[in-house]
Amino acid sequence: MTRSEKQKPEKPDVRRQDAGETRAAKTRADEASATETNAGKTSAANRSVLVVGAGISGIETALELAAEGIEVFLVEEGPTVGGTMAQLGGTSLSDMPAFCQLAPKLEALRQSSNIHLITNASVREIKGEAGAFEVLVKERPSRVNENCTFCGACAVVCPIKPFNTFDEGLALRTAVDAQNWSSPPQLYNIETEVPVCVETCPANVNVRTYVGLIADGKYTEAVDVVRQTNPLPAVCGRVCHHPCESACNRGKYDEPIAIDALKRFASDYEMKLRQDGKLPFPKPTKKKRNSKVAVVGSGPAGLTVAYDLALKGRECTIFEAAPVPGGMLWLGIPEYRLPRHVIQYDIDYIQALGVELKLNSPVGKDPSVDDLFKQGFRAVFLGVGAHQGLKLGVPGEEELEGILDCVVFLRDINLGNKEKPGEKVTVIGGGNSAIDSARTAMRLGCEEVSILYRRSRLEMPANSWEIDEAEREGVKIHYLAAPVKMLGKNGRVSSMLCTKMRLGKLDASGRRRPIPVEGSEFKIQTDCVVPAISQEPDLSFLQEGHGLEISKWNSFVVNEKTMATNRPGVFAAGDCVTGPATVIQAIAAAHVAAKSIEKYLEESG
Amino acid sequence: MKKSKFITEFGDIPAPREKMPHLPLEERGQSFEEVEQGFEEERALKEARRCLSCRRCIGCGLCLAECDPRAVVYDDGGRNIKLKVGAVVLAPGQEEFDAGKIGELGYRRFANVITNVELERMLSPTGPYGGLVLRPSDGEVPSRIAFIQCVGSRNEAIGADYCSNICCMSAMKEAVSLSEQIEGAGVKILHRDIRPFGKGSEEFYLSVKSRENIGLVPAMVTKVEEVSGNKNLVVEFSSNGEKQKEEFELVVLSVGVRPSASARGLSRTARVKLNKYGFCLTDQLNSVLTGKDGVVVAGGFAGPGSISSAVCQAGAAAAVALRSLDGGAAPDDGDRGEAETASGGKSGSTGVFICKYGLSSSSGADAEKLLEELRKAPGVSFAVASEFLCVELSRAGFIKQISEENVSRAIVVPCYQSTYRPLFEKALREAGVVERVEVMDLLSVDSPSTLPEPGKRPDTSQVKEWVLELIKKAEGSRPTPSEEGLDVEQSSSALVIGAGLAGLTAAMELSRLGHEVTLLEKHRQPGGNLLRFPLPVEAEGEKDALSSLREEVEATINMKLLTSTELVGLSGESGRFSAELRSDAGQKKERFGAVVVCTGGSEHVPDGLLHGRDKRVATQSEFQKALAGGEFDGSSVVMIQCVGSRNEEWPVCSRVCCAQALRNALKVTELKPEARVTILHRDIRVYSLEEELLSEAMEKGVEFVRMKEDSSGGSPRITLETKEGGQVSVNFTERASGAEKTVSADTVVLSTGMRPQPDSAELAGVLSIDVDEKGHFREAHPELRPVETSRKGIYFCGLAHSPQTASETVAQALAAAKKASSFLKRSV
Repeated sequence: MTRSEKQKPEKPDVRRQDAGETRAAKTRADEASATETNAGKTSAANRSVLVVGAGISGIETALELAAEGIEVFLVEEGPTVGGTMAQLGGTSLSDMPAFCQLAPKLEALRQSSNIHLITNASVREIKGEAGAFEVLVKERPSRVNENCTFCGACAVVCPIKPFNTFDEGLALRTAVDAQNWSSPPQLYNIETEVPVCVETCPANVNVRTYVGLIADGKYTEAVDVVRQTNPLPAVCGRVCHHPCESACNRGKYDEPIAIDALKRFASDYEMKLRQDGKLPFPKPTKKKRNSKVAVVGSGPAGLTVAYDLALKGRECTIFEAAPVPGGMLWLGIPEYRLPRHVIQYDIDYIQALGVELKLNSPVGKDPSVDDLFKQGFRAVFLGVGAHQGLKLGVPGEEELEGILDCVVFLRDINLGNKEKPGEKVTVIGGGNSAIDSARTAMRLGCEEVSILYRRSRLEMPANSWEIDEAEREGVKIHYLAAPVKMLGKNGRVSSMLCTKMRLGKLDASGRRRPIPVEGSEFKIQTDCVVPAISQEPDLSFLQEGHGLEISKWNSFVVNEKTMATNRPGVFAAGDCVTGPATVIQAIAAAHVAAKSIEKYLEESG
Repeated sequence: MKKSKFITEFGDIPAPREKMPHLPLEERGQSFEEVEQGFEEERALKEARRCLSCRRCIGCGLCLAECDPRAVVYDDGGRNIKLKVGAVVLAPGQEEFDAGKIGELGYRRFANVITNVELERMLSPTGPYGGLVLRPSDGEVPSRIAFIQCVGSRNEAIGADYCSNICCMSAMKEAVSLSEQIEGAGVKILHRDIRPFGKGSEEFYLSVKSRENIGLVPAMVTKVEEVSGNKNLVVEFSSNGEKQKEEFELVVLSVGVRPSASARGLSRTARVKLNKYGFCLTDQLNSVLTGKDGVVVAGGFAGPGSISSAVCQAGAAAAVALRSLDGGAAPDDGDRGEAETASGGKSGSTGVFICKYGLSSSSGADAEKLLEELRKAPGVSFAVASEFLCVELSRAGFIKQISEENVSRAIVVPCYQSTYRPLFEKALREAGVVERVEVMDLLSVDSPSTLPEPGKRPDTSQVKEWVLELIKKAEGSRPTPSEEGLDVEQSSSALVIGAGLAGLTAAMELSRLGHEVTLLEKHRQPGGNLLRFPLPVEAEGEKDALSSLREEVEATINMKLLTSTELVGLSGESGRFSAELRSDAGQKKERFGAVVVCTGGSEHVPDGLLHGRDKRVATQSEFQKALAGGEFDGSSVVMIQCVGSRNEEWPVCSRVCCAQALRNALKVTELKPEARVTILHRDIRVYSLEEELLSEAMEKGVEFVRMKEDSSGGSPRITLETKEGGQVSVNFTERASGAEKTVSADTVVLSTGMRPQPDSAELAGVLSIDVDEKGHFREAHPELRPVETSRKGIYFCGLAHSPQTASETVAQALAAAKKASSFLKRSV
């Protein structure tokens, strides 16, 4: 085995490359990389094999190949080799500890001059065909170089004690550690990767830092950290689906940290300070000349773009078609989940930076996108959301009254028109908007509210805690059932023919496919049906000849890396690109859009 | 028990998270007031302090300040490395199922519910508690322990309609370790079907079953609850239809396997397909092929499997990867392999036993050199070195060999762990070492002599000095002469014995790897079982497997196929074998460097149960052949599993019959949906993705009835009755009810299992390799060297190794060919 450190890498940092070359010994790897430029002189590249993964199968393969004189690059994701086997106390056929049994293989690996071990590394790219693959391997920094004499002094002083994953979290190690002493490369290394909570967050909000600040009682500082990457802390503290919590390492020991609730606590604390006049709002940022950007839609995406660009000194005007701001935040999410003053507070903060918000100002036909450019806006961001409910596609749906899409239903209620849609309300679907509709109907005093979902609770996409609350509030959920036909009396829906479903085999997505059970049809009495199966963007607001590319899902087609549409200067992000998604996903995409709008403005003078 | 060994740094683990205060239900009514009320400050502080800060480096610089050689480089930015390679082998392995996903089992909620991998870590001498098993809640030693099997396996609802293969064996193994470590321990394994996978496992299962302190309980576990106070666990389960509750001090969840987290990304990068579980989609017959040229797969990524199958796949993957390289395999440049096992010596009274692994892990001494020097040393009458002495000592053959040497004093050099001392003592006493057993321990402070300087490993001469010191402590003896010289020329050609699937595959691969191959077949035609039965796998062209292999064999220039020929003698050293081949034309001698034994096996033909006397009774293979015609004209089938397997006479699970029975049953339901199929079984043992066959058969209405085994755990008592022209009745005892039952059908199919060739012991004698009493050849190390025999240069694979599927045979055959090829190139 040759130490990967000694291979000649492609170092992005020139400084370090110099340092590397002074000590770099000429190794076989050097020759291997030399063949890249001297292709044809030697066939060495074709005499080498990449083995991904250094568990027992990877090691054995490498040894078998090395025995044939083949040069092997053994790339391992973790810091040491041996895989699961190295962890085992014993194997099923021998009493010896597995690492003892593995030892001769590891020794052979160490002895082999044909095997180049690259740990802490992953394969990023494999191009080409059999016989001539080109591979890009990304090696994470070990942060300890080969000057290490293995004295262990660092581990003695290290104050950070992570759980030892090699010990399945049963013990602790130090942040500087070799983790598994019995397997090569037996080198110290320091992991400093992004914590999982930050990594999992679509907007990479610095969770570890703000939770730490809260633990230290520094609440407003914590909110400042959130605002670095998320302009809606109070909103997200209530409605985020918080993938960070699902990934949280604490969850491996008992329960994950209540990250979202902590964010809410800190931003509520800050909100109260501001409302009591104890903390001023920020001052408007200084605006650059000729930097006007039009933002269409004041949902999470639009607000984020305006916020990011305002901080960069761009003059942003948000055009909102509705009489209220916030897009789906206000029109779609019920108050009992997200009080209106909370939405207003986050928007107030953004407006304080010098963002103009125009309500009741639809864009599309008059003014059109072209008109906006004529008015002097240099870029237009489209964040119009997805407000068109999808049809169930069952007979009777079109003809009968009392069938009310959840988007329309919730918008009415949220605009203050709190009227009962019926007495026996049936919501169809399993997502958050289905739950929102049902719980809202309960609050309107409807006699009976039920939800029909075609799969089981396990597959339900709504947040589990929302489902629990809905059930506690009296919403009945019929799992494994789907509507077949709407039946009416005097032009209004009176009952619904349904069928029971069963779950079949896993489909390609890994979810079990719902299949109707033959002859299991049953009737549900209902005088109001609320389909809540999904939404798509409603792009009918655009004038003809807008020239924007639209996908078959009725959404804007953008370059995923820049969020730019096919029209120069026009960008789009959020639900109108992805279809219905979460607040934090819209924020994440809007950051990308804001960044490329800024770049666009800089480049176009 | 010292509790300080236990984690105390996070005194708050486990501690539940703070609960979000909610608006009381009665106040909600028709109000739109916010339901979640938010944390008050005190609660928020408490919750935020639960954060582990993920305990990664914070860049404090303390280590840098302490580091004399200035080896800490904070601004190390990592590197991108570009490589040019001819082939890619994907072996990202597997990980365990997250047991927290099944809430009822209480993992993470209850401290004393752990996974089997956590238990493995505790059992490891390098583990967190130095090999002791302690309760996580209080660091006490548990005495009542339950294992819950199939957590995250065989469960379609959570997306895993497969068996994880290894859990039954490892749970039993762990149960034995626990009962040996903990005095008075009582262990229960709550299982569904018990599926001990792999060679030798049935005998292990029987030995576990006979232990009083380990209970194997068929059970469906519904819930685990914690007892407040002592943190014991109450497990609720139903066993044979009866609901039960039992309290345990520790619950171990045998969690199933999942593809590694990096597998999905890797599959995209390498452009290979995944199956619906996220394992690599491989060729049905050759499990290392991914469908993409030049990209092969090995180990856990190819699906759940054992260590030994991972090792076989690794060999196969290496062989296949070589095909994509320029010039294939080259004869030079190879690494030296692991050193061979040497033996010899003359009768005397002091024997030295060297564990090569122990030696290499604790000293810098060279085992071969040490052995050579010790053999010459005065006072040593017998010296032997083996790869793993403890493994070797469990072999009856080795014990016998020692006892023939009349050794009365033994020096063991050295053992890595002093915990093995009892094992050596026991084994060596059995071998007739009456006077004294000394185990050197180079790692412990009380070594026979003073330790060398810290950090410096003792070398050969030092170790030798210490050994001689120990020998002086015992009584002295005479030196022994060294081995005789070698004079025969070496050969690079290989002999493959047996031309079935294994032999044809191995021979083809050896020829691809550049060797002259002689393929022996004692019958008139090559093909073995392939001649009689199609392969059970749904490969593109089933029958083509045989014909294409045969065509390839005939088209290969450097291969010689000798039919109606047998090996009758083998002499000479490894690498210089001289083989005596006998055919109708007479006897001749040929030179070979290596031998691959692929003598295979065949379906057992049972006595009794009317087989061969009643046309309505067939074996599974006979039935499979009949169904291959595409017709089934009966109305009912009864299949009887484990006929001639898993009994006193043949305590082996034949591995393939359950899956074969399910395939045949499914074929029947396909050809005639209204036909009634009943499978009488003891456990349904289908492994890995074969589980899907079981799910499908249950869905299709195949009836499964578990037979009661007789009191000693042996085979169930079954009788067959026939009425002329009518149906055949099968009488048996049902396990659940204990009642005598009878099922009748117009076809009875017997799962008779696989047996190795009856003359394999004879062949083992000719080859001087080990064979077990069943007639399966014995491997050098059951898991890590599965296709190597105890003799260098002789390899084996396929049904001669153990009952196995066609794809396992192909992997072993390729691995054996690869091993033989490396050996041939090294020894030339």
